[in-house]
Amino acid sequence: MHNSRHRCGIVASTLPGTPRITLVSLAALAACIALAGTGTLLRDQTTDHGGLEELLPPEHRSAIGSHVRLVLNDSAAADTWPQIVDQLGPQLPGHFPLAPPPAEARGWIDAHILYRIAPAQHAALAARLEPATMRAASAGIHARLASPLFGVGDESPRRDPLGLRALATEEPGFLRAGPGPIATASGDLLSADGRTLLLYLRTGWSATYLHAWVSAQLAARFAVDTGIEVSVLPITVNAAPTERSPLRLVDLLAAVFAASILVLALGLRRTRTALVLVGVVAVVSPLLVLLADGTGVLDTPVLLALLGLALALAPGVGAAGPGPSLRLALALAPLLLLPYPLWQRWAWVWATGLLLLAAAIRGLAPPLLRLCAARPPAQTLTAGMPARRHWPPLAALALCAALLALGTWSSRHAAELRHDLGAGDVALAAEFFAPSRVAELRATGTDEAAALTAAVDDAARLEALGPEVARRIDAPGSLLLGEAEASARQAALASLDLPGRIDLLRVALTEQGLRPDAFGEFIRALDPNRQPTPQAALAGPLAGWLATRLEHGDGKNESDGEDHGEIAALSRVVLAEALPVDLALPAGLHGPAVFAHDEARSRAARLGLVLAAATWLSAFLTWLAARSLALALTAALVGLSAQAGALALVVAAAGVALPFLLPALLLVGACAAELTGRRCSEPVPQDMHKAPVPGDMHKAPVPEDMQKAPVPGDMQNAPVPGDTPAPPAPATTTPRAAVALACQVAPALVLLASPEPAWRSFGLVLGFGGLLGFMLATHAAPTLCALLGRLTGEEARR
Amino acid sequence: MNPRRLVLVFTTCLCGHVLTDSAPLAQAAPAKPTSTTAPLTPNRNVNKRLELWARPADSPGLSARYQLSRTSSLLYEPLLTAGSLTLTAPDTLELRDDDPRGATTRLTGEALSITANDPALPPGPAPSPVGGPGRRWLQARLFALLLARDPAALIADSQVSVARGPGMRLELSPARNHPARRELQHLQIVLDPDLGEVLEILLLEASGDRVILTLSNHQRPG
Repeated sequence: MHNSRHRCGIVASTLPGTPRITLVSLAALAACIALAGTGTLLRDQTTDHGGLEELLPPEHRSAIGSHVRLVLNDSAAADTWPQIVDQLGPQLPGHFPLAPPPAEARGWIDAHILYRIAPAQHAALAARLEPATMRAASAGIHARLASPLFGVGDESPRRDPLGLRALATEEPGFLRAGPGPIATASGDLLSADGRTLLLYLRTGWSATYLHAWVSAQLAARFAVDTGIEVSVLPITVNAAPTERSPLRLVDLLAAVFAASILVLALGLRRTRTALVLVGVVAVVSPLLVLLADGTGVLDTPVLLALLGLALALAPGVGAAGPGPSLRLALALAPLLLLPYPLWQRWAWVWATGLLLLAAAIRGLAPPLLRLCAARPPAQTLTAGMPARRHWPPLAALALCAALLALGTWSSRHAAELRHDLGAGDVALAAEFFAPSRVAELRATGTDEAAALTAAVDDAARLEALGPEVARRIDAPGSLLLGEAEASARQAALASLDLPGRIDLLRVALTEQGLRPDAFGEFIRALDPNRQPTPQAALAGPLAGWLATRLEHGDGKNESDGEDHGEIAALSRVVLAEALPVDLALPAGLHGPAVFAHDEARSRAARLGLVLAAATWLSAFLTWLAARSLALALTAALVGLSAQAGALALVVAAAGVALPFLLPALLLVGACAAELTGRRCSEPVPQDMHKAPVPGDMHKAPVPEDMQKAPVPGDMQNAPVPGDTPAPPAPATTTPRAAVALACQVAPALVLLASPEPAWRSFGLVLGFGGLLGFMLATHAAPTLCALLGRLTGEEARR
Repeated sequence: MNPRRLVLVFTTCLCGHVLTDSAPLAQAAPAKPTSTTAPLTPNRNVNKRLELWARPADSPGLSARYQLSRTSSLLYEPLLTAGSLTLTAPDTLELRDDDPRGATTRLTGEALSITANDPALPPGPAPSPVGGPGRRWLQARLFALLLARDPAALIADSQVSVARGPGMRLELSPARNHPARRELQHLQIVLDPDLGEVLEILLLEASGDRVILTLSNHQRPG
């Protein structure tokens, strides 16, 4: 052992130093203690908040609210259940009917049946109003009344004895009979078996508060204490691949720090150095959490990767100089091109956080190391290591091409971004609808009537989607006509002599033994002066429901109490689970399902965009540092190949959807490109000629910050008394790069061992991509760079 | 012990502890919908009638004559008609009026058609494939009643009681929570006291219409 140390020339560095207590050291120690105090903020920080909604642009997020699900469990409350079904909803805060009240809606439609018939059908309408036709229709009703099932059929003789509904535009879906839930008198939904009631409360009140409110209402108004199960389900869209993890953030941080200590202690063979470096990162980490405004399920892995990479860039571990930190701080910048708010935020958080960590390590670690008399990191055992073999350029090129092809193929087979429905939402989806499939359209106007008039077009656009796409449409515009259209139809109806037809109808009914007065609703509906305009609706039986569909803007004047802002009319639709990829949804339709559909349509384009941007950025930054096109191209190629390989692996391992993994992919590419830049810039050892390299890259100009091989003890620019000067740096970066790689992979291993599928996939990409990038950068990049140097003519120019 | 080894052992143990102590919580199983059948416990009189009703079981069908009377606010006078009923197991029922001015009702599975016997008369609106809750409840009751096979199917989603009046009467109503209650009030059945055959079915609709279907000449093949 002793001889071995002598061989490596590290005897001097292993000698213990003398603790040096200086003002700077004490200040650094005080700063660390103060920063550690912020760690108390993390004590109860969990990682289970957030989710897919953090990837959703704000306009696509579900409105704040909760669904309340009441299940009749036993017969104790059965007597009052019908009253509860019809009357409970309006007693609750923020009650938002999920459908129009059926009786009022049906009555409204039948009362305006003439206006639901398009002018193109007016000839058919006239034929239905012919005396002979009316007599035959009356006889048909009389005949069908002989059936015992006439009353439960779909015929409504009192409201439509002449079958005019067949000529009208299709009725809104909520009025069609079907096996699904039915609307209650207050517009809530009752399951087909009648035992489950669903209410929607558009309020931000907490689930606990709402539960208490509902229970109190049941007890006070309906005298029901037992027999009804009440569940309050806040509307959240969760990340599909995530299970709710019991892990707290501090658990994960502790695991990462422990793994990092292990890695650094083994790699540097300096325990105190490892403890100091990890300690500095640890005390700064609460600031990063504050900077990121807390971390959730999706971004916790990014935070861990940030900590690992900061350690990998620490002096004595990674390359010297601020260049790598500056370049890697831009690693997530391409995420700004994508519409995910969380990743857009993290592009900035990452850059700021990495620079902050780098500054903290450079500022705090050296005095602390002096304070604890840490020795410089041990030298690497390069003397006994076999010479590195570089792959032949064609083989390296073929490997990169294969990885790129594999990645391209994999990107088309990656998991889709889906919405996870928790246990409660699963029940809602089975009995009613999945809340995450609800989308909304907003039609605005200066007043309520104008907003509702604009909503007429929205309803038509939603109806045009068809029942295969729009499972359930709840649009006020489907019951209304604009002023202009109503006037046009009134003019067209004027030629039909409707009063005369009514008299003939009375006669025809009487001839068949039917009482004309029993058909009074229909006869009144033949009055063309009753128009289904927004003004009429706002003064009619649907006014209460329409009020829930109107959202007032923020322009309310407190002084006069009048509203001067815009008013929006809401139209809601429940979209089918599987939408055709080429389907174009109406513009302005917002909701998680709409964004997911958009995501499915543009998945390849978004992935291509972000990878292309990242590749360009890597190449550009490398070129800025090295002023070598060949090196820049090599770095970009290696980075992209590493990303492609990691992508292929995560797809093969049935990982989660790509939007969750974009930061990991970008980090893999950036780290591989960075290592490639350094690897191809360093002087080639003498034994390089053993490898069949057609041209050496050591002739390429070397950037200043890349010229410095990692100097152990660089963090201790002022030599510690008692320390002997550090020996010259080894000619190779590989062993120290391996320690840096291990720091990067350590968080990946922690994530791989976690119970969260999203974290496991993230760890897989980060770990495997890091290893692959390391391998490509150390074995393939030099020869590739040489080859590209010859192709670009750089070598010849030199 | 070497402090360096102590640190390494400590960190290794910490790693292991954090990673192994983080097994995922068992995900709560999604709540399953509760049973659709109301837990009813018929009393002794109801049981007696159900036993009587089940006597003609194990027959693949039924044919009978019927007389129908409908009292409705639509009509000046009650509508009276007669015809023949044919039930073919498991799910086909036809009621054909003798009068050409009457109608033929045909139930096949969930599909319902009511057509006037006079082909010159215009058809009514095409019924929806599944129908509303009232129609589904009534169809299920009619098939169960006439096939006389499955007491559970007969009383599912229903309240069962013994109706007032002479003879062996049974009354079925949609359960209190059932949406069919918005369309139908109850179904009253009169059973043959000896054979258990259904002699009369009285249907009271929520609209106030009252339909009485009187069956005679029951014939069960096989």
